[in-house]
Amino acid sequence: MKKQNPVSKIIERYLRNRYNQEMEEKVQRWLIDKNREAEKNQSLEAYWNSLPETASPATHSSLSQVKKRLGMANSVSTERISMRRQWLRIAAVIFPFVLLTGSYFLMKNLDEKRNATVSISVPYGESRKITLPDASTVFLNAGSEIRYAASFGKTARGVKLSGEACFSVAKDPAKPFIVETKHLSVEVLGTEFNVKAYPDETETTATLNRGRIKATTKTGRAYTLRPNQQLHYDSRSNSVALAQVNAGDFSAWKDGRLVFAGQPLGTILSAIERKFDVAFQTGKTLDVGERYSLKFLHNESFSEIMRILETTAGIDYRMENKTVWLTKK
Amino acid sequence: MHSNVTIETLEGLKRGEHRAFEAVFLCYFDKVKRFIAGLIRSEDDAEDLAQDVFAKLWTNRETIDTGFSFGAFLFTMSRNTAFNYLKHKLVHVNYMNEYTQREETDTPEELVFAKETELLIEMTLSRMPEKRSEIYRLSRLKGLSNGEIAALLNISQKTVENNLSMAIGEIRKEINNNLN
Repeated sequence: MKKQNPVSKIIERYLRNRYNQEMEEKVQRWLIDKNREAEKNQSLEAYWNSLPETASPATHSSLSQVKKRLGMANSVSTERISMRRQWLRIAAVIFPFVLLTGSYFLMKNLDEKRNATVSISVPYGESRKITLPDASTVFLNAGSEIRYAASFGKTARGVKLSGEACFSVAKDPAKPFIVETKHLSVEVLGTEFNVKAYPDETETTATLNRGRIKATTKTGRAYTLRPNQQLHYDSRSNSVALAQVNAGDFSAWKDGRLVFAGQPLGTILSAIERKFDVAFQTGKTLDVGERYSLKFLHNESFSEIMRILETTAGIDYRMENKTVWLTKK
Repeated sequence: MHSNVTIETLEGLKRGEHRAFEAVFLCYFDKVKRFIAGLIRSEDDAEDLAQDVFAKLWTNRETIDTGFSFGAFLFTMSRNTAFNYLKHKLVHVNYMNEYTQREETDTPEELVFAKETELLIEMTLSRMPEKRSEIYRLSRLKGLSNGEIAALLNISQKTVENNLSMAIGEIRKEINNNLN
């Protein structure tokens, strides 16, 4: 048994796992720091040594790019190409063997990479735009997480969502894009849409901006949505409702806006909690089921929003650290 | 480690033979790219940087010392390239945010590696279910009692206790575990 020092542990974990962007940057900053340079180098060299020396068709296209850059003629004869193909074939045979005899670190590393899941989460108080390997973009709202296999896009395009996200999907009819949430799965037929499925809310909604999507509940009921249609699924009553909405209102959060069209106060408060990373405590006198239509379009601050709620909904608020106490006026 | 690249090939590269450059490129390019991608976490940029490494290798081919390990030489070039990229990328971000407090498992080694241990704890926390890491932070960083956390998050005290002991267990394991 060899005791690993924290330096090699950090490097090994970092190379093996994905972390959120902030965490990865923190590790990177630590990595380039001059402290513990010898230990860091030792671990990095072990990683370097674990990587195989093989080429793929993509390597050849990189080679011609570099040769072009360096002004070298691309003068490979056909004979040498076929030789190289042969060499590639040999490399393909040798590779599994190298895997079997390679070091523990290499095996572990490759194995976990192959089955790896990429997970991206956004904490409360933030939202983030990410690009998937197929060039589809996803805006993740505050307090949301998206997971997908590292092999995403090779055979299928599936993501798992907890929370809220707005998807803009790259067209690829051969590989349907499927968003899975706890209660609802949404299959995309090339398009832009918003899915909201926070684990602490019983309602899951899918709203279509452009194109066409097919939403299927876990109980097997399927609905095809047209633009500006919204599907609500309530997990408590297992009921589905379709509504005609202005879809832009429901993806407004990705531009920093908060738009509520006739939504219960409880839903509005949850959205504010996530956006500003605060926690509301409501007294019994406050009716969280009452519906309001509110628009905050100019990146209003928390206190500005609270002032508007004070007047429109007749709420008094008191703030202690991150807890906000609400009472009826 | 230059199983596929012989001293003759390296000498050919030093003399400026395109064929030798191709052989070295095909043997090492993917390794360099994967190494850089692992560090910088961007495939696209890793491709560009790996190409830079080989362009530089060609430009400075005369300085290659065939008496030393060529693999180690390329390793150093690749590492420096990745580090330079990271330095530029991170230059705007403030250096070193404050770290979380350490779990009280300090052995002399953990004290010597205090900064590293803290970073490991943060890495572990960032991969836990959000609720669990939140409970840990509220307890260890904000110093709230289990009862206060239960009230704040509107969950039972038992849930707080369970999550806290799972979080602490995971962190201890991460800090103390050995590599066989």
